[in-house]
Amino acid sequence: MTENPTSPTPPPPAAQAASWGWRSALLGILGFLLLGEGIASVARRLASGSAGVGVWGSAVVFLVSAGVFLGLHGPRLFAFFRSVRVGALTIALYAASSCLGVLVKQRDLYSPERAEDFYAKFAYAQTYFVYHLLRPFPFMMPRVEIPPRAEEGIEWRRERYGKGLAEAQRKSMLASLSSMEKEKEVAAWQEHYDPLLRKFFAFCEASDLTRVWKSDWFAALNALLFACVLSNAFRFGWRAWFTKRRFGFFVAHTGVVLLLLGCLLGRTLEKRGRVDLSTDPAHMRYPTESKWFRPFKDPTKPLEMPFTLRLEEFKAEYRTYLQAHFLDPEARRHAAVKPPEFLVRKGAEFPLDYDEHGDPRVRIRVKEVLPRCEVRPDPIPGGGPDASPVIAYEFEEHLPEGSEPHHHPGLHWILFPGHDDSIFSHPDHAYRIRAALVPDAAAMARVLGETVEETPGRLLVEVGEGEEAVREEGDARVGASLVARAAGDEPGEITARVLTYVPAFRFDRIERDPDTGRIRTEEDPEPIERRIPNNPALEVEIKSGETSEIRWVFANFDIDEIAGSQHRARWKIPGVRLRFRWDRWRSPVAARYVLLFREDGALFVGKAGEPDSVRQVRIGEPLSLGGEGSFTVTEAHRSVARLAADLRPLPAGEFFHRDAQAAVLEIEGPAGKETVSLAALPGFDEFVYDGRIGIRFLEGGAMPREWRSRLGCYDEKGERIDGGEIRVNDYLEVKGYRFFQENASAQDTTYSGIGVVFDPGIPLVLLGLYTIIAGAVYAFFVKPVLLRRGGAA
Amino acid sequence: MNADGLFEATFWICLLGAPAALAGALAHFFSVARPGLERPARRFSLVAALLGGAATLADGVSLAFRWKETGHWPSQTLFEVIQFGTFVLLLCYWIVFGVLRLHAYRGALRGLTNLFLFTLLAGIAGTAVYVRGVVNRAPDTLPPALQSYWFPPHISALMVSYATLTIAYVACLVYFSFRFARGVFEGGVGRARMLAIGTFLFFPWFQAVVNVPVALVCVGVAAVLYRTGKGMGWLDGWMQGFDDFSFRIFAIGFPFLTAGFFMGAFWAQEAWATYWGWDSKEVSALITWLLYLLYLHLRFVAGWRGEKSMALLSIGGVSIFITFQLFGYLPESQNSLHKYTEGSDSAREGMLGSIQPETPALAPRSDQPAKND
Repeated sequence: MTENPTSPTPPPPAAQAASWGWRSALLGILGFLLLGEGIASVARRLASGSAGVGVWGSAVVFLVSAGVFLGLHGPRLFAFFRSVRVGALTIALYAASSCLGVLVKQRDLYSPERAEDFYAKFAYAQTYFVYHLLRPFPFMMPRVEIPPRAEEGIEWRRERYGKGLAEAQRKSMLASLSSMEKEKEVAAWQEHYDPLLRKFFAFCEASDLTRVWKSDWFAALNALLFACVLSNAFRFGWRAWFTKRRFGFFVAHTGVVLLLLGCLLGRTLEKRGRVDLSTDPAHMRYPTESKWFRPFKDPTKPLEMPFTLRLEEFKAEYRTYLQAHFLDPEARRHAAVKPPEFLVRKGAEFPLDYDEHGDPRVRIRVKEVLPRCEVRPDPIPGGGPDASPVIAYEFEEHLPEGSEPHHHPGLHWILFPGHDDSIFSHPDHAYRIRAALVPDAAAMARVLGETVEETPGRLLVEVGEGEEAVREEGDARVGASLVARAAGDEPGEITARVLTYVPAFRFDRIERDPDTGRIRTEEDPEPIERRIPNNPALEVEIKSGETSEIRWVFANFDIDEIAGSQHRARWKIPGVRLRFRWDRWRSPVAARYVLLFREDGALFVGKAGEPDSVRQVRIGEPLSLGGEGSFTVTEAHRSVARLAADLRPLPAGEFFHRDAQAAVLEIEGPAGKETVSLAALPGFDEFVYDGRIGIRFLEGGAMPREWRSRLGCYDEKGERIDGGEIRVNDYLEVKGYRFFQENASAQDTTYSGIGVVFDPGIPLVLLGLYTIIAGAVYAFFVKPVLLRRGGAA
Repeated sequence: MNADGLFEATFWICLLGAPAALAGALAHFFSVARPGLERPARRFSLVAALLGGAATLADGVSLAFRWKETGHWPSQTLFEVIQFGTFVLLLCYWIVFGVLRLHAYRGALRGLTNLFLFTLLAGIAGTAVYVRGVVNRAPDTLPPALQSYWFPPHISALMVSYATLTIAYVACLVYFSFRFARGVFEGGVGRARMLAIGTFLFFPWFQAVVNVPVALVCVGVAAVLYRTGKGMGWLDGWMQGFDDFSFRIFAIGFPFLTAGFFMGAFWAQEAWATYWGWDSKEVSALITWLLYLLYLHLRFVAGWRGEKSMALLSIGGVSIFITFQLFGYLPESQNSLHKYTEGSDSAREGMLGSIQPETPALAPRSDQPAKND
């Protein structure tokens, strides 16, 4: 065959490599790496200030002699870097070092670990690797069998959910059993070879093999690579760079130079960390905005940004799936087996409940997927064991243009007359409404005549642990006291007295009194009954003998649980726990109304405590009760069998909405065909077919389908200078700071963890990478064509 | 017909095509000794090529169905990656076939193209059996980390490069197999070299799935040819050919490898805030890239040709194997961010070195450093 047309460069004159043989090149490189180690260790001592005169002296002597050496042998050094063999060996050593980096368990680049903790991970990882290395084929893995009981479960699953899903369960069960066996064997190996592993560990730690990427010898290798590429990139003279033959070589090597320069710039100047924010102003852990972020290198020392970052919106959206569970007694025996999850997609069909021929009796088909829906309860009148009276209402807000709508879950809901916790609260806290069933006018007057004794709720005191704990409960009004006596001597008699009630406690507004250390809550000009109770809290003083202590207790969460042991360690009186149950009806509010549902179906409304205020309510007519927005009763039924979901699709454009995902399903089986609307909202997410198959529509999973934050950057005057949305794969850059969507929590839907990166080397690195690609494409794809054409001409 | 059914069909076509390709290969090889075999050899080759084409088509359509079914680029689950990888492998075979005009070869060299096809079809059939046994085929929604415009080009470029470089690897493998056979039958190859080649071909390790069948076929063919009195002299003419052939395939694959590898960095820069995080998958890919880079430099600057350069190319191929197959077991892979295909469905979008939120306390909050202590 002929001379290769695709060759990027012609074979070089053999004389070039003559001065550096393979062995001398290797020795030279190793010497260079050793020198790098030495320089770095001396430089570190000099920088830390612990160096004595001797070290300073040798450093100066070294610098001088290095300078002299460079002056005398500069061209030789240049020839070393430009040597083909040195270059090739550098690439080979780089590859070998990278192999070490994956074959030896590496320490975390950012968080340092104690040697013993890291050893446990190291020993496991190395053993796991060797185990698999010696068992390269599947048949060498431990053999396992499915226990008969589980086999029964799989058979049951085949009957109910079909062959495919049963087989999938068998496979995953076999895999996990086999993996358990494997882990046992790995653990046994690890124990057996522990002494050897420890020696290997000590060696790897001493030679920096557990932190290859941060080692000095690897840094020296990088420097050598840079020197080699730089000295070669611009050889042959500038005229040669733009010839057909050498252009690719020149471009690709220039790319590598740019890339390495960018990496160096990044490594010297980069700042990397995270800022944890919440959209909830009352959040107890995270603020809504911050000028600081915590660097990974040392999270205890926050770094400042040139602006304030505010989390304006955040939402994580999860995938939706269907789950079918059987309600017969046999199914209960297999309840431990999680029913399969069917991903909801339009047109998807899920067969269920197989007969003896292996054909499904029931089919669920997804007719429609509604990514964003307003869900209103649709009362279906009728009798039955679960029947109850229902009043449906609508609350409409008339918002001034440009204002933010309230995210209030109960805007279109229902009231169950007689249920104490079935209450509508005006979003601006203008009033509350509950409903009552009344036989006649006298009862109406009596219900409205009951005076409401205002109180924040109930205070619970728990003294002692476990079985012996003593629990006392009492009114949480300011000034009220509660006495609890523990069974043992410690802590004896406890008195708890409520000092303050705050409807909306703000963690970001805490100030402490410099003299007493007591938390001062912000002075709110609004009267207490006008404040929106989104984080009700009590300040409680507890006394045990001579000791007294002040604690805050919250209705929305158990601070003792969330704040953990650090927080509990600060208690002066241990063994005492406080709880606060907020009263949804009697806690301070501007006005309370009662809807009165009479036997004959007539509906009235009146102000609680004012029997004379009663008036009749007409369905569909707005009630004027004060506050913004109007409250209208839309339906009232004496007996409702169940509540169906009335789905009203909304345009899906806006991501940060709080509306529900929903689906319309068609279920076909022995009991006929049914079309059902289900929404991912409690109460609207389940349908029972034929009295024996429960079908659930759920939103969730370990991983969100999509999550986004809207960020705003504000200057010192509080003006928004920049901002935008971020999601995984889509960051925001402001003044060189890049913000990444990094963390979320399924439990805390308001929290967003935002990665912060400041790295001025990135543009250079990206430019370098693009340049290398361009060089490679030219050298391999374009040049052969050009050369062939040139040859033909 | 759906994606699963068509993939199953691909499996059956490959199962039928593999023996036809092998028969074609053997007939072509032996036609050196018996010219009468030329006709059946051509027939077998045609049947094998048609079945290979059908397999490519079935696999491709199956992939398209899968794409439609899942609604995203089908490279998420292990099953999808296998489906996509096998298709690209077949497609690249036809590209190489066309670009290098393999159909024009006659005699033993034509046998080689059949041997390639046999390796591919048998490999795909074997993979399909593996898929039937262990891999979960259920489609899943794309996690946010994979919802990027880099996802299709990154994966596709790497697949194309891995496929072409695997073909180059097989070329080296065939060469070394014949070389080994010659050493066995005729001698003249140094003991150390024989040991090295023998270990490479027959060592019972991950790569043995490909190496051993190819080596056995080649050694068998060489044995028969040797017995029929043809000797091994014909191998001399092949040496330059193999080196050149494998380089040309490499020259197609390497730019794709470079682009695919770097696209990973562009993507990581947008998703994980770092273009390079020393993640074990990244490092495995870097090692592969460096080995091919070394091959390139030594071939053109230090003038390495023939056996030496093919040995390097083979090491690159083994490295692809390790990146692709052994990766999950590497000590450093336990917390890799690239483990999407392992069935774990925990959110792994965190940046490297992410830290836990601090323990909260009802003390002044730490949004300002002054209050932190």
